[in-house]
Amino acid sequence: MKKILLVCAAGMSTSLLVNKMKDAANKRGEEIDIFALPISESSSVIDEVDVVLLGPQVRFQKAQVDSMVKGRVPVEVIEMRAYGTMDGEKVLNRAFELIGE
Amino acid sequence: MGFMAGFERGMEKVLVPIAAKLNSQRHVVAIRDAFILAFPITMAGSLVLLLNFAILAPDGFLAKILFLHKLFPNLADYQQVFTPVLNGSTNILSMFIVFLIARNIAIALKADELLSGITGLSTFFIIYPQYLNVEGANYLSTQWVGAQGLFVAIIVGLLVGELFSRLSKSEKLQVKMPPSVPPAVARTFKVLFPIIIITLIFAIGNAIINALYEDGLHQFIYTVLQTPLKNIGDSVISLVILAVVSNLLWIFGIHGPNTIAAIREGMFAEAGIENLNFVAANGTAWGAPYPTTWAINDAFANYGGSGMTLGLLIAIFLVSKRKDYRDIGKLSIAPGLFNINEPIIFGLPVVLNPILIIPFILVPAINIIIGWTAIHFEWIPPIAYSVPWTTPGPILAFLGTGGNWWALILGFVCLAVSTLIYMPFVMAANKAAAIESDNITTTKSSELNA
Repeated sequence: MKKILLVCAAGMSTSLLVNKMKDAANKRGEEIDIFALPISESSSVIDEVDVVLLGPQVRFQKAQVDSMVKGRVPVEVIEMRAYGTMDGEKVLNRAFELIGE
Repeated sequence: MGFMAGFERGMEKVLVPIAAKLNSQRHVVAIRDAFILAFPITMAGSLVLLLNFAILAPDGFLAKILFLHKLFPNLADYQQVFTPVLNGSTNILSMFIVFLIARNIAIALKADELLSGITGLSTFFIIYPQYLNVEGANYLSTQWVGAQGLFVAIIVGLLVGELFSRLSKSEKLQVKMPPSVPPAVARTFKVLFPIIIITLIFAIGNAIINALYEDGLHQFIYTVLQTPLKNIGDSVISLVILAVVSNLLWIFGIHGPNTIAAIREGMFAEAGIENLNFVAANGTAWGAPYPTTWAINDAFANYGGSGMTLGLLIAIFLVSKRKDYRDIGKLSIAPGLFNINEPIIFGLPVVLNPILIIPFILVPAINIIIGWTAIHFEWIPPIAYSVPWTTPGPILAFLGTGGNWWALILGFVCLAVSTLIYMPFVMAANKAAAIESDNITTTKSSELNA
């Protein structure tokens, strides 16, 4: 099963997006594990995930996440509009693209 | 739009690296995360206190609504049952903070986090004022384990975390155990010498400072560091500046409240706790020692989230002709009621939006001044109870004052003010959209991306 980590500030708004992404995954019958964590709590799980996405409000933490991931899996900042409109499907598609690369 | 694009590039070059530094600098992060982790405990204490006075005090607002004081004449006697809850939360906050900071530093430096935290707590009490012996029993002052000891806790946590992490990596200081020794035992021996060194350093340092400054280390740090910072915080100008900086960061898509958290806690943590203790002792928010704290921002200038965007949402539903605005508005109402507004900030977007920047900064500043004025002239009591920042709108002002109805009304006034200020800007956004749809090239250049 693929695992997606969303890095955010306190997990408040990003957990909304997580639910939308799970809905989108269910519709397509994909089994996938998605969770949202602040960067301070990410270190314990970052070695087990297939892709790391950052909320746009913490895009300046990308360098820090990059150094934690060490190039093992893709890291990307979520496109601002997709995040703001809570477009779960679009973000999920992008996550699959990144995993597939 | 050329100006905005240039402005955006300039700010990205200046502001984003600063925010990135602040949010990744390990000492700042250790302090910030320590307060975040201690938050549920202090909040639980505060809420128990709030319920205690709301229900069990004869003039508490819930007691009045439910006529509890008529049903149970000796209602107030039960208050003392729950007051000790504060003794386990805010009154020992410094102990939590010193442990958590030493732990957070060790996590950042990949050392043994639990033992680093425990060493921090141990050191905190090595330098603590001596026991007082009264009639054969020893007493420890509670003065520095709560709010007043916060800066000592922060400094000790940072120093111990650094020392512990570095010393425990030194091969020379490790006591090597044969492989047959269980790992749990080997782990403690590995850090034995580093801990001895740290405790010695602090014991000697404490003795020197006590010899030079007779009131002791805690009083020294409180006087030269904590009090000045607290006094800076105790002014409406500081509140407005902090709010403007925090909201300005959001304009560039950076999480404002998180970025300024370490500074904010240093300025307001003690004042907030002193207020809470005042309430616990007196049963009312009237006369709380620090009327001007960050709580004013949460109570009057943060409905819907940073920028007080609940007013923006209402303005959109009242006057916006743009389908995209109304769609985002509908999506944002539910999280917005709980002061979470990333959907608006990134969806409308507010980020780098030349029209909405002005009210987004202006509205919270004005409402902080309104709230502060009402408290300053004692129309309403100070916001002395801590209430979670996710509490919906004016209810936060109501509960924060311990159930003052005027505070609730003032909350609605502030919401109306924010709606009125946002309205002309939402109308301007209507016109901007109409002009853009006439001119395709303008539309393309105005599509700002993150």
